[in-house]
Amino acid sequence: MPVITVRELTRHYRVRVSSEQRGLRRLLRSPMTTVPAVAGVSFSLEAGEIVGFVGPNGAGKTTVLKCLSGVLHPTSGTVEVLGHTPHHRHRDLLRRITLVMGQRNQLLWDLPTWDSFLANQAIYGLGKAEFQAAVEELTELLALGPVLRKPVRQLSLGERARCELAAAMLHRPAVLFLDEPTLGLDFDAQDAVRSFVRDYVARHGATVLLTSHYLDDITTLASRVMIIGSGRIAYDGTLTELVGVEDEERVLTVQLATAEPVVIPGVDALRQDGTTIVIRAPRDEASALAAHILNHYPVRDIAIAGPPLEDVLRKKITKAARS
Amino acid sequence: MWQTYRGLLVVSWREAMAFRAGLVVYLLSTVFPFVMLGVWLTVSRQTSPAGLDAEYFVAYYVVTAVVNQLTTVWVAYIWDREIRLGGLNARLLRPRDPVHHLLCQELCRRALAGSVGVAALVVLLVVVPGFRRPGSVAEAALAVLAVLAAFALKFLMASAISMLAFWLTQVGRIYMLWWGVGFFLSGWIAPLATLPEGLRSVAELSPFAATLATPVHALIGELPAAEALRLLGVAAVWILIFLVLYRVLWRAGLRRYDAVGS
Repeated sequence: MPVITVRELTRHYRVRVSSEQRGLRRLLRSPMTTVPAVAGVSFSLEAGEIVGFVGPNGAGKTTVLKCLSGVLHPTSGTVEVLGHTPHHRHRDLLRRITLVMGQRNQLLWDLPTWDSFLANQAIYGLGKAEFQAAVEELTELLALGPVLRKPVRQLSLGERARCELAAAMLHRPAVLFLDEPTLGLDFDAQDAVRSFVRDYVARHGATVLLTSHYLDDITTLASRVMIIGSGRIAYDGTLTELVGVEDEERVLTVQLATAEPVVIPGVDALRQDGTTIVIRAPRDEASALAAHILNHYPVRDIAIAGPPLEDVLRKKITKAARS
Repeated sequence: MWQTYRGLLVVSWREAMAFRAGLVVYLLSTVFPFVMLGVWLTVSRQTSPAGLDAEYFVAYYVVTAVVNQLTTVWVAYIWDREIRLGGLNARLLRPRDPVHHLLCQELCRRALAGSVGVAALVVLLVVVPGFRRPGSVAEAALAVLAVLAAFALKFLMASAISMLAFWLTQVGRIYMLWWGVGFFLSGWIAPLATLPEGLRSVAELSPFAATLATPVHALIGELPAAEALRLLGVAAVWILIFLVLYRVLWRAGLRRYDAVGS
């Protein structure tokens, strides 16, 4: 039975537009327009899945996450998380989900993180033993030890991100909505967050829906990807399938014995750096091209590979945005 | 729920203490009651408005300053900012209504700021034996109740009005307009006894008198127990009205909340 079920989810925003009217009418009436952010999205997630939810800015990712976590009321369609309708904000549901947002504003700014933990303990009604166990686990997974007693305003961005994540996870949610959890972090901090999510899911069997513009987050954590563009799901499947669908291109990397400039008739996508040349070619032409190079140039090594996963995802996302 | 409040009060007290310097500056900048005291002392030198003397005005405005410290709420600006800028998003994810945490924060700020005023008042009552005070223990208890009612009413009024931030972008102005009327009808500008009879009755039945005039009069012993109970009844009705209004607007507002920011 799915943990999350979304059917024909639509969410519109009403936004003010600049008025053409003049005088008193302009003063009295603010013209509004309706902007569809999400238009008929359907999907479901099974328990324990980690799903990457990607798309360009403004595609509707965050809106979907806000509807799933009950912050936003959908305009139409149905959303069900752990058997509840999120916007009814039932306490049992809110005790079992979390949403970590890019800007991260869980923590009390002028107090140490520890006090934010205490506030969450009170709000989530965590018993002493339960709270202590959660703090110990999160301190270990996120290496929080020395930073818990420092005022939040004095933490570095990476430290604050880890503390925010810990505060949002203190009640050990079964469903995690992670909206750009590594936004603005350096490589080490990004790695720490990814490891944390992986370990947490392994320990607790949680379900994760993750948005990120860092494709490393997606490729490292998710086995399934949903791509959203202009408020609609453009792709929903495994990463492997996605790469298979898009894998119409091959990259030939050739090591030559000399640094002589190489010109191959009919091949434009060629980049040469000293003795290394990299050629992008259609999949069905790749082997003939490799044979041609082997026959005509002093080759020390040749490798044929699919394009990097990031490139595939990027192309697909761009295509989704255009559609 | 008691566990929730206990935990939130502990953390909110630490928050209030972190801002204690700001609170002291705020207290020092609260000069309005003393400006009004100066005005009324000048008036009372030439005439005796509504039969009130200088001693009354001193007691009235000194206690006004203390009641103000105990009941001023900042929650309207917090609600407005949270709704307008999307800070509410994080609060909505939690299994307790955000109002509980905001109430705890406000209670702790008032306890800290008010303790200065209460201490000053106690010193004044000891040092100046003639300073006006409740006539009995029962009247003193009613005065404490009146201060609590004033706080509750101001908190709910501010919360109800700030729910308009779900629809409007400048709800702070509406709150200021509301208190423009409130300044006059609560007894800030002039004790209610100096108002014409009809206007005084309107003021007493309005929600504003219960926020200042009632607790001040109860604390300076100008309110017999029966009258205090009647005015506390008026306060209770307004508390109920604003509680219902706040809840209705909260629910309606959430339906149209755009949750800006991420």
